[in-house]
Amino acid sequence: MRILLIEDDQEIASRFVVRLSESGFVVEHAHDAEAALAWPDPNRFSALIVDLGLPGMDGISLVKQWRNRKLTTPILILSARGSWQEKVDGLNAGADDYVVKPIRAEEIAARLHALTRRAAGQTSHKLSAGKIELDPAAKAVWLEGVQINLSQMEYRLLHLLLLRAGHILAQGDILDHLYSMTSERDLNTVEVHIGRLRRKIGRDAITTVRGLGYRLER
Amino acid sequence: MKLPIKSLRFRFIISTIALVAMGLLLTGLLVSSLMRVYVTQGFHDELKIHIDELAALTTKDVSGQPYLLRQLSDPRYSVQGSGFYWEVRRDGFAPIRSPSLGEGNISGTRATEKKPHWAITNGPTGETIEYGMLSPANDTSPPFQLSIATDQKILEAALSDFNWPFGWALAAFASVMIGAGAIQIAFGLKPIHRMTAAISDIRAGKASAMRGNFPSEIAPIVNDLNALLEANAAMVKTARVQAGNLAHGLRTPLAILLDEADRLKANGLNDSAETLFHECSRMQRQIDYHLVRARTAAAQPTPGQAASIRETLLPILSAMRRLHAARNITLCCANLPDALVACDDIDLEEILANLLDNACKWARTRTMISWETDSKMILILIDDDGPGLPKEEREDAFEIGKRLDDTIPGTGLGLAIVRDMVQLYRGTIQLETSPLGGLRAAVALPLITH
Repeated sequence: MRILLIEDDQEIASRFVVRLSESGFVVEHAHDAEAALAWPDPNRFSALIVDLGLPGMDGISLVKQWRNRKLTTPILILSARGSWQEKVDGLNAGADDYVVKPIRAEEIAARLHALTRRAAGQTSHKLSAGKIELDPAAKAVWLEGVQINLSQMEYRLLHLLLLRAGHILAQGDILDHLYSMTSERDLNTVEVHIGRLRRKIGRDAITTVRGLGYRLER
Repeated sequence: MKLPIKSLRFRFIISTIALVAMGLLLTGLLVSSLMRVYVTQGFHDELKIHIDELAALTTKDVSGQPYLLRQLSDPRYSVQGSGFYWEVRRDGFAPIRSPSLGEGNISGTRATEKKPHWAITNGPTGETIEYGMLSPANDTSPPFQLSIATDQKILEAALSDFNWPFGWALAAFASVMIGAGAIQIAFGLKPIHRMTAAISDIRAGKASAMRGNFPSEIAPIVNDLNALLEANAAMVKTARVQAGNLAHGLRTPLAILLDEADRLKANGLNDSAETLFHECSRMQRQIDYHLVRARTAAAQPTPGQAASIRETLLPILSAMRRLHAARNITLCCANLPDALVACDDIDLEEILANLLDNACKWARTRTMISWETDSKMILILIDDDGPGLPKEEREDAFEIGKRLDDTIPGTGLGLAIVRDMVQLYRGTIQLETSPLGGLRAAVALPLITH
């Protein structure tokens, strides 16, 4: 899952980036609201994390601007003050959930999983499609009730496909969610990871739609 | 009956009445005594003229018997008992007297010198002012002893005829003066009434400062009061900002410590990591709690504070619906109370949002907000249909760091903070069994009545 973190504190941001990456997220980072607004196509992120105390345009104004632009991506706000006034304002501006700093990365990861699951229309804490089940909190995957082992990249890919089960995902979209913009990116790697995943969850589970991308069958 | 001695209006009216009464009494006494002098002087002058006329008219026949050439010109000397009398005596001759004397007598004792002299003597109809003088009879024989007397009561009646109407006139003037004084007091006190109304508006939360034009004597007090209110509000605001800044400043290093703990855990140092997590969490809780306390301590209830339950609840409800959307919790709140409470609006938001968030977290299907009021308080009831809380655990729920269920997100500070804030605004909070089956939070806050 690819997420955008908008946090002005470089130290906190870099630690979140490392920690969330370890939890299977591809994290992009913007230092302020202006940089976040300039980001091309924020709809392609699975979730957005916005610190409310940004310099210049504040986090609440950023959330409002995004929602005014019809952005539907789930937004998690980071509140440093922890007052309900800030949280209520943030939620009413269009955020979907809040966390109060200081917060552990694993708590943020859990909230992000819950938000993306909710956005994908899944109500259970586990994501499922066909015979496959995935628990984002435990980072565990089951095939027909039997736990299977996946590499980090395979897990990320399956997580992404499960969040959009039944929908076609273009290779470019998958690449965005697997690798950060700053890393080296090659479309062929997507095909390689899809092939490896198919070997573990079944060839028919993922359909190749020629010229468009891949679809995880429900 | 206790006199309203502390009332300015009473003091002004009493002092006006006293001063007007005293002033007019002195005026009355002075004018009356001047009048007495003037009328008495006139009386005496008239009597002197009469005795001179008597001297001029008195003569004697060949035997030396005195007689009057004609009657005195004042006809009252001819009417019996009129109070105006004369008598002429001459030693060795029969006295002659005014017809008004009848059988009565005047003393005739003042006729001892050639110049007229007077004294108060007894006459036929009471005390008289009696003038007497000697008038030579144009030979060596005894002189005429002339006496003129007038009843004292005629002078008193003349004075009385003046004093009574004059007294009534003064009383009427006093009434007009007191009435005018009352109007003046009412007019003069008007700005103070306006000031009282402005202060009431501030107390009722309808205004944050005293508005309007006040007279130059009161304007400095109004300006000082406004400055005090402004300084108080600014102090609360500054305290909040500083508390927030402190929170922000402390949270960043705490976040780094937490992250270091995560790193330790990733490297297999679980025990050290857990200790760090635990201590960081304790520090965070203490910081949060004492920051809120510092903030609320700065925000002592001040005149002019008013928060609308309805205006505060509306955004909270909308935020809660968004926050708990995934759990399909129904938030019932029919007919939001259009009431003002004597509480800072940010603190009211903190109180209600904390309680409502708790209710939503614990509810199975729904939460409900209802309310009751009496003349002084509003009781806000927040119910949920969750598992509830046994009676014996309800008091503990207000303790700092008490978390009822670790699987439900939270800091365990909410209820402790809520109770502190509610008590700050002289309210109460209780946890009860909800008619929905779960827990009920009942918050009573002082109402601002119109």
